[in-house]
Amino acid sequence: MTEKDICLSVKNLRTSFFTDRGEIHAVRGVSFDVMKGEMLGIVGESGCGKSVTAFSALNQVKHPGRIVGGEVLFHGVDLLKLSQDEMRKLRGSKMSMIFQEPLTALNPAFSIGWQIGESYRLRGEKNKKVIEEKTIDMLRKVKLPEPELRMKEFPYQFSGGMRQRALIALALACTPELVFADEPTTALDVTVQAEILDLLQNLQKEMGMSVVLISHNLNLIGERCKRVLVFYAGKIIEEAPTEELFKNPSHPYTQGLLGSLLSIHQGEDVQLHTMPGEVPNLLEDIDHCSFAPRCPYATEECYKKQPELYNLGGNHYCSCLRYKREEVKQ
Amino acid sequence: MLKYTLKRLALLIPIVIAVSILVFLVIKMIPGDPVQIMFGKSANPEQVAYVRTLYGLDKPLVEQYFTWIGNLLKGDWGQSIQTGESVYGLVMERMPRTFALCICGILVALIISIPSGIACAKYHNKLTDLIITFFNLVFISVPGFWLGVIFMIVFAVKLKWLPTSGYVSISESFGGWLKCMILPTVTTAATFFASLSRLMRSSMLEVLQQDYIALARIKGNPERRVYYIHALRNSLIPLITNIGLQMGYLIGGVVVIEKVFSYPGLGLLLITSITRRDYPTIQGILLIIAILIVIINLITDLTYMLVDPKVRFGFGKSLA
Repeated sequence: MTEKDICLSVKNLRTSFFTDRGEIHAVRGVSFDVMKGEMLGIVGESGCGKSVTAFSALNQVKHPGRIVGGEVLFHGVDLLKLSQDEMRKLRGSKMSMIFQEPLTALNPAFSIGWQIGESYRLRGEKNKKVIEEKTIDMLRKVKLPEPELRMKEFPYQFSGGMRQRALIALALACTPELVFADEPTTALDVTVQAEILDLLQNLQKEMGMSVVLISHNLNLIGERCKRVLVFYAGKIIEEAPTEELFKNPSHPYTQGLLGSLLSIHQGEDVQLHTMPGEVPNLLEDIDHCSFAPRCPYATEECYKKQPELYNLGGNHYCSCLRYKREEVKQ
Repeated sequence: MLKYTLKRLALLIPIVIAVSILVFLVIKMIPGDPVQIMFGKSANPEQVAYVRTLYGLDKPLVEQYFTWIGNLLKGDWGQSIQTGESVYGLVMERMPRTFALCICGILVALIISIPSGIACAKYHNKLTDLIITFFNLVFISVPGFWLGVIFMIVFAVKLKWLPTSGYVSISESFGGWLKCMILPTVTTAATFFASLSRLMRSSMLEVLQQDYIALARIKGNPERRVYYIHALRNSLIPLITNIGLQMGYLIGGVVVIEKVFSYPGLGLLLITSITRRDYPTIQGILLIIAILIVIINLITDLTYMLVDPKVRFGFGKSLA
């Protein structure tokens, strides 16, 4: 891995939501790199900061949220330091996002074709015929039936699966280098889920882009991604190649997650593992291991010190004091 | 769309029948007799009785109603008791003026409320928002007739830019027409632009939280396009509904504003007719106002189709 292979580099990103109840520390210092052409998985439960991280990387955090620190380097340029205009030029064509809920992510007032064609129009294409051809081509790529007719229709006329296909077409229309796919299949039937993910994976290979796949489903991430980041309470607590993570989960939280997975190969009387306790309250600025209150191995030290991401060898990092060693992820 | 329009126009028939009965009964409940008013206190009872028979005012109410409706169907709206002119002629001369005042008022209100509502949403809780909100609240609280008088004092009496009152027809002089339209139009707009602006603000704020707005930005839309193309169309829907609902109030307000500026529309005629108990004229005006409201509501519903594709294509086609 060299500098040249890095597509996006997030450094010590911190994002908070400023509510009436106080500051919610949604993302508490997250650093990771996305390599060119890779499909990176981010896994974690609801509210752990996965989506906020994606929105922050695009500098699109919704009110009352705000990025309070860190850097998002895209081709060596810190996106967070750019003006709206400069960022629009850079991001408009190179970074994109696939949303979780296609019905709310598609504008109900405009036809699907108009919404996809807009990407071409915004990048200076004026010829209506060319725009139409490109739009039909894109819809064909996402395997939408009868694209010539369908492009004239509106989001409410589409089924859930078709909407998600249209949304993928919309996100990929500007041939981005990097796409955040935020739970792209959570709103869909299980049968459609696999189709959509296959589609996404094929397009990723075909177009040579990087994809950050965000999901709460560890199995799904395990099937699709070569590298995984595990989020807990707004921090990365483990980062590893997928195989290594499944074979050798190191953080007690990851172990718990894997233990709670259901497999068809297990016997009938297998007891599913559950983790005691609750996710910490992010209104507090936690200055120790956030998992300590739920951790079976927790010692006094865990309540005193914030663990760093320790290198366990290879590209396996874990944020647990049990693995405390000299080499730390920068 | 044509079928829908025709269906809606057919609805006019029962509405007009209901309104005609209501109008007829309400007017007869007002104390006072038109013939008595016409002749003054020194009237000769025989004379009064004679004129009453002439206009059919001595007959039972039900009979009077059916005579009126029967004549109406034949195209005869009756004669004004005061002046003897044809009511149809009177109403048709003034209806376009009131219609023009309403439409101009709505347009001016929209021209003010849409950008100001968007500005409020854009600078949510910042100084711009607070200033616009302050002015909106002032205009919501101030009654239209008072504002009309103030406008008149400032722009007509003190600055002498515009005429205080009166009317010049558009065919006579366009400039003259425009001059005497400005104050009544602005006053009409002032009575309801503020509530529309408030509505635009809240509807815009809600739309701006939607994922498709974030996506529009991610796609590389300039901010102006995000607001005026992606967000505006979706936030207009509640605004249009509200304009439709406010139509009745608007026309009621216009009646008073016409009186303030002596603008010779239906409202002014209505007020004079009521003070003189000129039954046929009042009936004619109220009927035409009811029809106007139905037509403006229809226009509102047709505008929905321009904005909301769901209404345009009907819900039946939806797959989900």
